[in-house]
Amino acid sequence: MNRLRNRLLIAALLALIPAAARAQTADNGQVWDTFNGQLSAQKYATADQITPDNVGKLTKAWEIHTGDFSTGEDKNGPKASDWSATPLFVNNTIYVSTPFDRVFAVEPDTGKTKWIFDSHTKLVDPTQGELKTRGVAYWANANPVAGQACQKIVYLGTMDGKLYAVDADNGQPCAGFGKNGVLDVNQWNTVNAKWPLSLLQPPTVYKNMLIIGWAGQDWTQAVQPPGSVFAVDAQSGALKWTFHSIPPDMNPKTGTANVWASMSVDTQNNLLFMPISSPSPDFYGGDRLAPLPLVTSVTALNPDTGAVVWSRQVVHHDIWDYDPNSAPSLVDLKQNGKTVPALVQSTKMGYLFVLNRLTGEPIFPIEEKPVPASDVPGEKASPTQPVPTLPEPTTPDRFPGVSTLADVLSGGYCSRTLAGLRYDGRYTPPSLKGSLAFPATAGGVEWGGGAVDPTTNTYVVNSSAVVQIYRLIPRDQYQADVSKGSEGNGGFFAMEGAPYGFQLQTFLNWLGMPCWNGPYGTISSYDLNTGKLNWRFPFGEVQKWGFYMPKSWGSVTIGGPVITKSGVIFIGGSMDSRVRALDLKSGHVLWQALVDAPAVSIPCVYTYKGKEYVLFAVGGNSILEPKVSDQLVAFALPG
Amino acid sequence: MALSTASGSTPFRVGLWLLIVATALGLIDAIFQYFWTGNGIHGTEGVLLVIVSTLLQLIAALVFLAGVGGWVRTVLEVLVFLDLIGTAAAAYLLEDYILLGLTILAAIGWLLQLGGRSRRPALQGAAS
Repeated sequence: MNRLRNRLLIAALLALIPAAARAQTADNGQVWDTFNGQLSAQKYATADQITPDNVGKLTKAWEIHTGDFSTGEDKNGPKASDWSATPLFVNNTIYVSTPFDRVFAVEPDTGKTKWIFDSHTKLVDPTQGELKTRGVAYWANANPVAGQACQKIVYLGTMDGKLYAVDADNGQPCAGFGKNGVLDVNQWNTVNAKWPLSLLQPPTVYKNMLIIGWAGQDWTQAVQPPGSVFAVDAQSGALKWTFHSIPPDMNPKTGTANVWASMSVDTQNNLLFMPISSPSPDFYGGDRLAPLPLVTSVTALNPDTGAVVWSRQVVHHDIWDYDPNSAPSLVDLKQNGKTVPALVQSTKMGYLFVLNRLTGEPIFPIEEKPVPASDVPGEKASPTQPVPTLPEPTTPDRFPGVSTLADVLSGGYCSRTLAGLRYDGRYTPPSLKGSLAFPATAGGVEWGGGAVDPTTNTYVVNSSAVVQIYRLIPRDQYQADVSKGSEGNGGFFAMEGAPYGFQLQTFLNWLGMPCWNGPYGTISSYDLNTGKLNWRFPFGEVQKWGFYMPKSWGSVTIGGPVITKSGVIFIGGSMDSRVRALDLKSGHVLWQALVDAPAVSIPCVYTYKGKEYVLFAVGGNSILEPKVSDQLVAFALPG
Repeated sequence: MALSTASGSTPFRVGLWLLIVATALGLIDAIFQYFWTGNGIHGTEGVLLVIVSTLLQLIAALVFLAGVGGWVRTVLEVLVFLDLIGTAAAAYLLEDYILLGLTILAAIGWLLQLGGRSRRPALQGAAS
């Protein structure tokens, strides 16, 4: 009997070892194993070594330069790079992909390279106009087979639609995945296949599955590949299910409405949340007037089947390119003594949709408000749009007025231009004479999204306030207008197949100064339990010819924040090539450091050998500045 | 154009040398900032501007040292004043606080030499 008891005791102890090991990992090591830190997209680090009191002492722990960047200035060379990758820390290694479609595995405490995987992808971007990557994904076998390769896998998506699987320990291809370690996702690009499905965003890894979205173009042609999401087996690459965002009968008229941003997962309730982008063409919807209920939405799927559980459209009949562009952050709200499972979907419009994540119903009321009608022949704008009553949006509701300084310095260009535009408030439709769009497609909140402190349900989000001019051009005039060129930083979008082409122009004067009043970027903190704003400050600085503009102007901002348990916010994302630490309670800047370019990525916070590090991929983004880099830089406390 | 000796009252000499030294150091700082890549402003038009402005300021200060007088001196004093204001503003916007500090020192030097210069004839008269 005693022997049996001892055996049971030993068996019980043995069973406890993995749990203990896991607990030890959780206690001693802050990992950052997904694009958003966690599948919940909270971007929350439990590491607490760096505090508001000592963050001012942060120093550079290590840095490396991958060599993979391009200014795009060489006409015979690669296009400009856009490095927005969140570095991962997992398996005691930092993993990061580069815009040249290589993967670096480096030592977390020294930056010394462990291995490099080169996909040898041709550096010709088929869809984006830039060489982009947002990072890699990681999967580990819950029951690893000893002695077998690829029990831990790093995945790299490429611009030409290939998904590479390599052994996380040595960077060798996993032969069992796809065909010799490469899955051609483009094999499923069978409808309106006008370009390859660019895999810029790393797949979401859940339940031995990779859930794959893609990026494309929704501005060049009216009819494009329709939005789809693929779930494949993490080890073999075998297709498990496919989700379609557009009803098949609409495929001849439209396309995209793809998921190009990251997704989040409620592991407890087995739900996958996707920000579904706008349909093509971006700025004219007269040929796609039939209902498209899943587009420009946040949609919940059953991750086992790909079936829709619920969907909430955040823009009806989108003709502004208002893609929901970041993974909704999951949070358990405390309201009236109850715990409410919720999510927060940030948007380019600056609206924050706080929804019950089990049902999609609003936590705070959402009103359908009347919005301006279109005056463009063939177009029929939605008469109403959903407007959350709380939290208050991250951007002002009205155009913030012409900047006197920019107007005077441009001899009245700004006010003259404004006088010739249509502006009837939010959701003013694109027009033939040009409409002022505020917020515009540049945001509002971009793909970095916000971060949640789940202990207080504080939500922090950075947001831009960009004014752009939307002008539709009748097809027969389009080529003539394109050949004339555009004032300032204009861009022409063909939207071939639609009766109109399109011109998008940021509202700048000839000096490159914004024609509108700042701030141009802010960071805000909200109490999600009540929906109330805690604080808001201009964020970052604008720099022109080396001169820093007043701090009250803030900076256009791309890339998300991270919150730590100790109450520190880490964020890059400003035009002035600085990374910062802010006090979660007050919003005050506690520390800042100069890096080589705007750090338009989400930082990675990790703990290794008892030391907390904050890691930034510093790549730049042409939306902010024509300044790019290949710097991967970690900061830590001295000693 | 009248030339006069640069040796004058103590405030004049101290002020002039302070202007020269602070401006020279400012020029060195500006050149350093232009080429040092770890400052966020290297290679920018703004730093080029302060290189030029401090260089012009230094030349003017050396002309003062040479003892130029008359209307040329008056014009240069006005130009140096404008240069100091512009350089200080540029240094502030470049967040180059070393250059800002040096420009403030140079401005103090400029004021001292200006005050010393205005008192110089009286002092010289008293001595003779």
